[in-house]
Amino acid sequence: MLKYIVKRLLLSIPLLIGIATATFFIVRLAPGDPMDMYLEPRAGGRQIDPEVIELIRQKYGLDQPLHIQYVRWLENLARGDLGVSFRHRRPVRDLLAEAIPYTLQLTVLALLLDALIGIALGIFSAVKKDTALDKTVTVGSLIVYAIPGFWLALMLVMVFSVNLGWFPTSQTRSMDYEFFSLGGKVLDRLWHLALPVFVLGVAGAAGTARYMRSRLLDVLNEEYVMAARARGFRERTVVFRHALRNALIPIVTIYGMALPFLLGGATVIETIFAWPGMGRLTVQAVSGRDYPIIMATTTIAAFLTVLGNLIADVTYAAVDPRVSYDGKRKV
Amino acid sequence: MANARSDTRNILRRAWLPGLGHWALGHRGRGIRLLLFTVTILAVLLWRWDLFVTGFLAPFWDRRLASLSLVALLASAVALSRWDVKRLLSEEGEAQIHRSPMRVALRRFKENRLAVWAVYIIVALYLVAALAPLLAPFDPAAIPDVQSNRYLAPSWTHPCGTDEFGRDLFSRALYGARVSLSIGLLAMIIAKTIGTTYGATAAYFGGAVDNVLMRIVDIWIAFPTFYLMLMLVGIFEANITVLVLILGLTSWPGTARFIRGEILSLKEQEFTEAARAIGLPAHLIIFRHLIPSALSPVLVTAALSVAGMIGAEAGLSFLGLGIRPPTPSWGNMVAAGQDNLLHAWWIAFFPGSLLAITLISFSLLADGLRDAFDPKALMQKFV
Repeated sequence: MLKYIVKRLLLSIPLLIGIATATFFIVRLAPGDPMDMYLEPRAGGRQIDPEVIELIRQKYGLDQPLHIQYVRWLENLARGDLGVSFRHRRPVRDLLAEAIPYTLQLTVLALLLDALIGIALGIFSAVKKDTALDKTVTVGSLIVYAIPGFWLALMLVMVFSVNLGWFPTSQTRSMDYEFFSLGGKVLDRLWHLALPVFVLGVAGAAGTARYMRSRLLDVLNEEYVMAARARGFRERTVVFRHALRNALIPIVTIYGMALPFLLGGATVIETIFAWPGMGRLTVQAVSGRDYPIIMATTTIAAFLTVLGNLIADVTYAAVDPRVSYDGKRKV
Repeated sequence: MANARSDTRNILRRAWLPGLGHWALGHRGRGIRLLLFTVTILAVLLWRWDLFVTGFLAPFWDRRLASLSLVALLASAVALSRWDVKRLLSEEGEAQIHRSPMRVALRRFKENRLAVWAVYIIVALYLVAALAPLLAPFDPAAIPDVQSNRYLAPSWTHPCGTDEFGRDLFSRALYGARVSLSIGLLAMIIAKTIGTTYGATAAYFGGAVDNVLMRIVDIWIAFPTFYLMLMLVGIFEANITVLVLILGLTSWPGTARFIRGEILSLKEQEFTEAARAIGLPAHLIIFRHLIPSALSPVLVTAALSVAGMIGAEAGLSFLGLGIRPPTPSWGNMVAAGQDNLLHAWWIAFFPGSLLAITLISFSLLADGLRDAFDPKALMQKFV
C-alpha cells in the first residue's frame, strides 16, 4: 500500500512540473510586458521615470532573461514562495493563508450537505425506481444541476434576504460580531453561511443523487444481490447491508476528487456573497491583472486536482478489495 | 385508380402551404404545427416588412442575418412539408421496418417527452436569437429619456421592464440570446473538433506520439477548466471572438481522452485492418472510418458541452470578465440586476430565467440522447 502511494507520488512529480511550466508560459503569452500590468493602474496616464521602471523590474526579477525567470519560478514554487501580489504588495502566501480558512468553512459545509442530501435522495430514487417519486427526483435533480449557481444565489438572496429578511445578503459576520459570546459567534457565522452553503450544496447534491441512483441500480442488478433476495432477506437488508456497500465505493472516490472544489469551487458564489475566500481573491486578481495571485491560485488548483485524483485512486484501492494496488481490477 | 392519382396530386398541391397536405392525409397534429409555424413566420414578415426588406442591406450580424433566416425558414417549411408528404404518400400501405441504429435511436428519443420539448425550446430560442432584430420592439442600445423610463416594472410595452438606463430589457434579452447562444455553439464546435482530432490522432499512431500527446492532455486536464478560463480572460481582453476561442481551447482535453479510448478499441477491429490493407492513408482511416464510429457518444456530450459553454460564458460575464456592457449577454445582464434586487427584481430575473431555461433544456436533451444512444438499451430491445 505504502509502496503504491510512494510510486504514485513520484509519478506525479513530472505532472506537477508540467503544470507549473504551463502556467508560467500561458501568463507570458500575454500581449505586452507584465510590467505594463504593474504600472498601468498606478501611473494613471502620468509618465513614469524609466529609472523607476528599471528598479521595479529588478525588484520582481523581470530584468532577467525568460529562461532564468522560468527556473526561478519553479525554484520559488518548490520552496512554497508564491511571489508578491502587485496590488496588495504582500506575499501571495499570506493572502492565501487568510483566504483559505474562509473558503474551507464554505466548501466543507457545502460538501457535507451535498453528501447528506445527494446520497439519501439517490438511494431513495433507486429503490423506488420508475415511480412518480423517482421521476420527480431524477428530473428535479437534473434541473437543479443545470440552473446556474449565481442566478440561483441571487434569487435566493432576493426572496430570503431582501424580501423576507431571514438571512444576510452578504458578508461573513454581523456588525456587532465582536461583542458576541463564542456560541453567538458560531451561530452568527452559520447564519451568514446558510445561503451560500445551500446554493453550493444543493447543486452538488443534484449531481450526487443522479450518480448514486445509477450506481445503486447497477449493483441491484448483480447476481449476488439476487442471491441475497433468494435467500429471503428483507428488501431493506438487501439494499442497505448488501448493495449499498458496493454502490458507495465510486461515491467515496468522487469525494476524493472534490479536493480542488474545497479551495476553488466557490469562485462565483464567494463573489456574490462578498465572502473573502480564495475564489473572490482570484476573481479580483483577474480583474486587476494581478499576475502573481492568478498564477498561484491556478497552479494550486491544478496541484489539488492531481492530489485529488491520487487520493481517489488510493481510497478506491483501500475500500474495494477487488482492486489491486496497481489500479487494475482483480475480478 | 385514376381517382387515386388525382388525389395524390391534389394532396401534393395542398402541401405547398405547409400543413394542409398533412391535414388531408390525416396527420392532423403535425399539420397544425406546421401551419402554425408558417403562419407565425408570415405574421413576422408582414409585421416587420420594412425592417425585413432593408435588412438585406444591413451589416450581416445585425439585420441581414435575421432577414436571411426568415427567408430560409419559410423555404424550409415549404420544403419540409412537400418532402414529408411525399414520403408519407409513398409509404402508405407498406409497413416498413427500419432497424438502422440511427432510426432506432431517433424513435427512442421521441418517446422521451421531456427531451422532445427541450428540443422545441432550444430550436425556438435559436430562432428568436437569429430573428432578434425583427422581433425586438425597441433598440437594445438606445437610451431614451432616462428619468422617465428607467426601472419601469414589466408591462405590456416593456414585457420584462426596463433597466437603470431606461433600456427595454425584453429587447436586450433577445439580443443577449444571440451573444450567449452563438458563443455556446461555436465554442462547443471548436472544443469537440480539436478534442476529436487530437484523441483520434494519438490513438491511431500510438507509441511515442500517443505518449507525448496524452501527457500534454494530462497536464491540461489537471487545470480546473473555470480557473484556466479565468486566467486567460485575465490575460487577453475578452470580446466575443476571444471568448469563443478561450472557451473552446480550454475545454477539449476531456473529449480527446474519451475519443482516444474509443478509437484504441475500434482500431483493433477488422474494418480498420481492411481499410489499412487496401492502402488507405492514415488521415482517411482516421476521419472516414474511426471517428464516425466513435461519434455518437460525442453527440451526447456535445449537448452538455453547449450548456457548459453557455454557463461558463454567463459566469464570466456575470463576474465582469467576459462580454462587457453595453453589448448585452445574459450573464452581464444578471450582473447589472444584482445591485437592483431591492427595487427592480426584473432586471436580474428575466435574463437569468432565460439562461436557466436554456441550460435545463440542453441538459434534458443530453439526457434524452444518452438514453436513446445507450447501446445496452438498444440491445435489450432489438436482439
